[in-house]
Amino acid sequence: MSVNVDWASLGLVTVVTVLVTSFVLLITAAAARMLDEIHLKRKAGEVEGLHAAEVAAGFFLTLVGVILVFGLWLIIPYFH
Amino acid sequence: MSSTLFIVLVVVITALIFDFTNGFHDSSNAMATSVATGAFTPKRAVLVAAILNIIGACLSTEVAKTISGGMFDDSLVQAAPAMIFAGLAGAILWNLATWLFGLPSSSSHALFGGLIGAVIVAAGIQGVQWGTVVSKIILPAIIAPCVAGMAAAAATWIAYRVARPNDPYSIKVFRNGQRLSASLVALSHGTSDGQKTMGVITLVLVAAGYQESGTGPQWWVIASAGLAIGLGTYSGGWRIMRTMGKGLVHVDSPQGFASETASTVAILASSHLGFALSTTHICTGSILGSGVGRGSNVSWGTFGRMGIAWLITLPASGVVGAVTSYVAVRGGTMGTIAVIIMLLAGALAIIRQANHNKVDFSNVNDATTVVVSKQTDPALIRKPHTVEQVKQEFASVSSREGSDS
Repeated sequence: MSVNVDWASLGLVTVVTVLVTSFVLLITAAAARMLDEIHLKRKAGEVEGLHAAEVAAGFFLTLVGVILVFGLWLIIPYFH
Repeated sequence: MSSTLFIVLVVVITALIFDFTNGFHDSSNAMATSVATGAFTPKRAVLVAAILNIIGACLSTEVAKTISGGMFDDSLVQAAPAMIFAGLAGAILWNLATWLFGLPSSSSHALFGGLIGAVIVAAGIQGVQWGTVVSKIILPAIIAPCVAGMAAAAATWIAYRVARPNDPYSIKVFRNGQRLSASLVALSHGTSDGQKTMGVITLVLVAAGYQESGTGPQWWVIASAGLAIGLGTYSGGWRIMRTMGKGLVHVDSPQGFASETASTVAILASSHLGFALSTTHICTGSILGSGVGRGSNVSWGTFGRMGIAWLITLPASGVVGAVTSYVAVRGGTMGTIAVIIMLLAGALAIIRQANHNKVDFSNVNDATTVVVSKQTDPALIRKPHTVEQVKQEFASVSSREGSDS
């Protein structure tokens, strides 16, 4: 009985899964944090740093959207 | 009716029933955590998953050219379509048995197990490539939950340190994220698992001379396979949904999003980078990993029972496949009818046992365990409610949450 295991592919799958998942959660959590900050600043009437938080939240959410579209592209075989 | 047409009809109908069990068995993979956290109501979750499964099944043109995956010679089962029927019978019974116990297990592995059992009866033990069985079935079953679990644990740990998970905007972001990532899992499930049944039916049609070799699946095969997996998904598989959503760890929105994202990434990475992993094992591992990453109590006993179910999927469905193959192939048409009767009797017995302690959309989140025995434990289960009663419960929970925030 010969068992052929493609260890290189397995290693690649593992590394890609851990890194991409961590990255998606990092930017989503950062977007959530920014949205909370914006909400708190508005509630307190603070203006300082509000614009920066809005830009950061928008950037992180856009990045999540791009990754989502890339995921869809990978799932649908017609695209590749 | 000729005996060839009879066996083709039997295989087509059995393949569609297998597709249905595949759908309800795997609906929890995509939706268990979303149902557990309330990101989707139970009914909406299975509706979304069902629609995406049907769309997914119709999206791909890459229908499996082989049903063996290199584990045995395809010509063996093509020569005797009754063997495919036997393999499907083994897989259906195993799917129903694991559903009764609320245990997620791979439908693909059950199908391979049933077919391997049938091949052993026909060609002996040397008819199976055991090295391929180890590399494509046993090893991935061990590796998949570890890979997805590591990713979900790391992601959950990050999410709980970067965000403030109890703030209203964070909850909203993670719940919406859960809806999207769960939908991606459902769509990818449709593109992969819907194709299996189409492949099986097409191979039988080609083998029986009803379709030219080298041609793709006919429109009615695509439509019926997509519909079968969609209807199966919509029926819910609530017993497995309870185990996955409530039985392994307590799941909150950030964990749910982390586990569904880990599942999506692992499924896509494994299918595009050349090391195929089972969706069921990936999703179970990622739910478990999200609990580890948060430092929650993990029910290792439940996970242990799942692990045992994974390990015996192949031999258990193989034994059923071997017995049914022996009866169906040796007994001809009468043998096939006998197997159909045995299959129906077995399925009805399992469904009857499950109905003693029914789990459905209305009580899926009420307990962490699935009761199999006839005795009713009021602490573990609640009688199923009507749709209106469940809507009222959700309305009262939403209004309480609204007043709290």
